[in-house]
Amino acid sequence: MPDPLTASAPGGAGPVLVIATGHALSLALVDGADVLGEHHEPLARGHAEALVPALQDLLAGERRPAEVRVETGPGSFTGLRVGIAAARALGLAWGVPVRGVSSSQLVAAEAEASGMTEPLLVVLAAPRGQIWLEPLRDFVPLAPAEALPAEAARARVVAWPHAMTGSGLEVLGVPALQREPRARFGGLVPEGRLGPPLPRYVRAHEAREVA
Amino acid sequence: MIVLGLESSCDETAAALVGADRRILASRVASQMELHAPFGGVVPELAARAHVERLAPMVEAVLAEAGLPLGAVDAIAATAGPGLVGAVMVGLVTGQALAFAAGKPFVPVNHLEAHALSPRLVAPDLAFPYLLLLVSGGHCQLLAVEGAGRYRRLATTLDDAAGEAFDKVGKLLGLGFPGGPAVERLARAGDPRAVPLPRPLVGAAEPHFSFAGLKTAVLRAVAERRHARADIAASFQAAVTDCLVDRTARALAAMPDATALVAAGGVAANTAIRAALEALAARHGLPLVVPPPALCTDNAAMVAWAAIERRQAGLADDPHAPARARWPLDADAEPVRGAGVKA
Ligand SMILES: Nc1ncnc2c1ncn2[C@@H]1O[C@H](COP(=O)(O)OP(=O)(O)OP(=O)(O)O)[C@@H](O)[C@H]1O
Repeated sequence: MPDPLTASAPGGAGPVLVIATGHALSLALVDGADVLGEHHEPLARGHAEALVPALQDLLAGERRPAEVRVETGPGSFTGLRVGIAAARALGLAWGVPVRGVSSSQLVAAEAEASGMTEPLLVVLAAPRGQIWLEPLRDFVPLAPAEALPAEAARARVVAWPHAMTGSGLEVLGVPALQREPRARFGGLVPEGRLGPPLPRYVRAHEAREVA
Repeated sequence: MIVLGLESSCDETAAALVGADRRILASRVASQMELHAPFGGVVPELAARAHVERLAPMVEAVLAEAGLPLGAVDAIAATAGPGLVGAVMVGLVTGQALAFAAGKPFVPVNHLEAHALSPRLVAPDLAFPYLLLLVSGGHCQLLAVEGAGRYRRLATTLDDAAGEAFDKVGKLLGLGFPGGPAVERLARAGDPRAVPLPRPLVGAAEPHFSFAGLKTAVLRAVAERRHARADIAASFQAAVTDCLVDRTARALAAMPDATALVAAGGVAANTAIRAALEALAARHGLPLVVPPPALCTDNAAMVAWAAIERRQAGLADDPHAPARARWPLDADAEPVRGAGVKA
């Protein structure tokens, strides 16, 4: 069943509100590559309390977006759920479409904007020293996202022959750009690559086997 | 005044529109029972996940059912606790974001207060103060309800909630989850005097409840394999009833100005328990008020109604209230040894 919130939305009709709460508390009002406003703070917990006040500040002056994009993961389950619940509520109240953008797509959008080549391995820090891995090309995953213990993740990273980026590289001690998903890049992901506004739950079975 | 209420504190996703004139314009509840049943209890992560998927479409559905745009709502309310924090957060943030986007006031509601005030939604003549016996899967409390925002806890459980005891006994008897309705059904075919079971704290000077010893005695009775399952169920139900009646009688004696005895929470749906409480209230010359089952178990109409009562009483609530796992109605009540997590 198509989600009524995501159905039939003309894109490009105005500013897009991007909500990314799977890692930092990251909000932005964007129009393609233009950033009309941004609120970005590193935040491990407490997204629920901080989110709506931050939205109020960002959208002060009655700037009503034409679309809402929300981070869907991989990221903190609690953080993602809070952002998605808010995004869906805003879409409902404003009568605008709500679409999901993955954490890896946000990171990839930033990487591409800075000239990084594809395919790209997005490496994100996960709770309890784990690492999320997701290879992408043209914003499409080349393999399902995975959660791995640091050792297993390091082996993958070392074997990856192409470009890579993300907050998880620091955890692995690999020198590279330490990007975390940032809302301001949400306008750069093509509409056709967006998904439903639902959390992506990443399988962690290998993590359990190793641990 | 029309209020949109949201509820997501445990395993029920709910939304409702209620008027200050006590009209329930729309009220929907999606149970997650089928999600959690295989695990024999509520799995917090699954609950929160289901709320995210279901809540926004449910809000649209109640608005459509009432034929109202969101703009026609005067305030938005959501349960802010007590409950499973990850689950509570979903409804709370949804409510806060809806209120922000629609430019409406937001009222964070205590789930227990919603239970406590829900009888007034259906019984307009019910006046403060009344004695509330709140008996659910998470709570077993006696509260003097003196007004919106004004509660005195007279008793709580020292260990399990009554509904929790029903659920555990249901499990011991090989019945599904939740155990309450299944135990009651099985009890109908049994002899309530067949199995000697303890009545913890009955007659005690302290005001509280305790069900752990009763549950252990049931465990032993099941292990003995001497008794029919129906007899165990009936005897257990009779023991719980005796405990509830004894403790409630004690509280009624301590609250001479009570206008009524009110029973709320899932366990109040139990016919035998309800009949015993009715007889007790009658002995005190009081009516027993039990909200209909749809209002007794978790729902959002009671959340909307609690917000209406609070606004009418002029209480100001912090719209940015955080989600709370624990949120006692009576902040001054002394902590009780081993009391249930939500007490
Ligand atoms: N007929 C019945 N007899 C006994 N217990 C019952 C009956 N029906 C439901 N229950 C019990 O009521 C509980 C469910 O009640 P309810 O939905 O009000 O509360 P909850 O969600 O478990 O807890 P709370 O609302 O306090 O967070 C379960 O423990 C269930 O076994």
